[in-house]
Amino acid sequence: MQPYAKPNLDIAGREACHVESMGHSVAFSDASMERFRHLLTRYPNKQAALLPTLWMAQQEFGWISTEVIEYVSELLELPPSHVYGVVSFYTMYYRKPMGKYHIQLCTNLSCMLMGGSTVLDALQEKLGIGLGETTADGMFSLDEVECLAACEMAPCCQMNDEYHGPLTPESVGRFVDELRARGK
Amino acid sequence: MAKVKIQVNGREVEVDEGLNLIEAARIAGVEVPHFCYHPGLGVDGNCRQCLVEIDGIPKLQIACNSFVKDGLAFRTDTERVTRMQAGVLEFLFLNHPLDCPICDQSGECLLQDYYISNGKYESRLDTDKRHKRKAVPVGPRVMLDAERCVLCSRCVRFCDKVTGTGEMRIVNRGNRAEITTYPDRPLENDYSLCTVDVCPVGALTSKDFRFRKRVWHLQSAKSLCTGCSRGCNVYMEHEGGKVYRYRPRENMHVNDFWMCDPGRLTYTPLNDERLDVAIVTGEERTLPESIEQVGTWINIAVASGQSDSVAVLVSPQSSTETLYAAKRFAKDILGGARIGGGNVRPAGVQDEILRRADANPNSKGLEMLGLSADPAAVLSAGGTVLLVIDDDPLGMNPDLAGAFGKFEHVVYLGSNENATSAKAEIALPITPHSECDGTFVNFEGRVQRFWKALTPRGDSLWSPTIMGRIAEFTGQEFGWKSVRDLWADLQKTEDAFAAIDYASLGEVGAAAGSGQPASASAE
Repeated sequence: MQPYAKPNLDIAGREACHVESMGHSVAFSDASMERFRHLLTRYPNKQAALLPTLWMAQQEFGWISTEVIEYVSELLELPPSHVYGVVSFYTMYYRKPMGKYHIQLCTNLSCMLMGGSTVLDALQEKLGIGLGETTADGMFSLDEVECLAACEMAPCCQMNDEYHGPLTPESVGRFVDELRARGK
Repeated sequence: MAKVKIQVNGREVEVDEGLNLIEAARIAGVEVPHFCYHPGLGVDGNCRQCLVEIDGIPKLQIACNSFVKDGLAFRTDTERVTRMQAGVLEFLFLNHPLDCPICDQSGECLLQDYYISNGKYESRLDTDKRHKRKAVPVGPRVMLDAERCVLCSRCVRFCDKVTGTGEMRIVNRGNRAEITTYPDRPLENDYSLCTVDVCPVGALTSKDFRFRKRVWHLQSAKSLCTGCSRGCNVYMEHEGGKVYRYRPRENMHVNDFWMCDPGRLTYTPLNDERLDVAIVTGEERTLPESIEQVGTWINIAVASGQSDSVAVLVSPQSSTETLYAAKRFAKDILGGARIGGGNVRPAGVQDEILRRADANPNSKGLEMLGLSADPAAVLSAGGTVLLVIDDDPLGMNPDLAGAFGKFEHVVYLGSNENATSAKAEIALPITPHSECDGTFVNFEGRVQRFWKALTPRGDSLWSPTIMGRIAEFTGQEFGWKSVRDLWADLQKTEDAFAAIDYASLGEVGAAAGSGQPASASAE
């Protein structure tokens, strides 16, 4: 198999600099810009890199604000309405600021049978927030998700990029306390 | 193009290779229901309404993305097809409001048409319908009702593919999906009203037209837009002597399926501020006595050998027939009066799609008749009678008032009351392009027909008829009873038109240069 074609970093770099100079309130860090340029080399055209670019933007800026949509649309030479359409289609692109720790609890079949709903109740009580909400200190966001494909650890949750399980109403209390300590 | 033989519902037809099954069925006289496919926007395949049964393929196929090949046979009338169509309609109707009685699309709505022919079942939805935004202005000329949208994405593709502006988009997912514009970027391109034309349902409606007329009351005539020198083909839709809207008419040589918004709104002078009776020094008069007055002045000038004291100011807004009659009037009846015209309309916007800077529909016709476009030579010396035909030269260029003042009598032949008709000693009403047959020549030299839609308003007459009646006072006549008579002379006497036969112009016109009608689709 042939490796990916060597990227022409010069061209991508020049265009990116052009966008940066347009006075946007958001812009990729140098490291992200390097990753972005490498990303472009994997696709036949810039526009095809939309999903991973948005994913990178969300990791960097925390959520996809209107400014981020416009920044990405200029990076990829797409109409902002197109980027907006894609962002609104996928639930994993966040259109509002999220907490530092985003807990996504599964309540699908296996997790539900293993007591997922009691875990959910306990989490809501512990955090003092409902589904789709963020704590006032900006530390936690809570969401319900469908199957995380980790039924062997049901009931389970995804916290940012980590999987945790099996959870019990008691263990989630400790879990939240540990996270709060880690976040301080 | 190579032809292939196919069978549609058991009937054999021969069609061009490469057509999709919707177009092929259309040739066979069969309509395949569809929402998302549009010949000007291509195949999208999202609505699933056009499924048909193709021989030899077990599953139903979408007709828009299946293409003819020799020997292919398909059916649109089987039990499976109609059941499937009803099923797709049921999904489209799940959250669709049943507000046809107050929906402006009613009567020209595909969803309504298809449902009436293949639907009419009880709703199986036992929860509330999902509600979305209603009566949202998505741009200065277009209103959105998101509940009525079937998400065919025609408007999205129009803004992406035709104008390249990309304002419209489908956002969200599932039953929350709706079309919208990006915040603070309204749908305001110069072609935005075409999204209303392509919208198969009542989701996008024209602010100019909505709630003004039920569409089933409208009658439609084939006509031309006079907003610029492109000459987009339109349907002029009217009722009770009033024009309500233009809709683009397909002509692949000129405007494809589209027209611009400014052009679409140029129908208003056909209704408003019309000059429909003869006016002599501010008083309404009968047409015969007004014509007699003009004829007397003209006759005196001719009889006293002072033809050159008469001047005729024509306009590139006029039809070819008006221009030709004016030319014959000046050259033959008067034996050498000054004649010429001016591009009085200020240059408009030109773009890469349709719009032309020259805002006159017949500049090319003026040029082909060998008439000067410079008013100075016509007006400079003054004289006895100035005949001003069509448009509003004084309103466009008030500086001409001085030159007009050097004539003893100013006579205006026009369709609207304006600065020029007010200044003229006599104003005679002539029919605009909604009230007579005729032609314009567009900037590419394509001679195109427009058809009489309405009976002439008030005392208005076809301008060659009025010029002919004036000519009678000098003892001469044109002898034209109709456009065809005039064209017989035009073809004989004007080299530039020699190769063009009025009868064969058809719906798409003919290019003047080639001498060949572009298509033989006669009326």
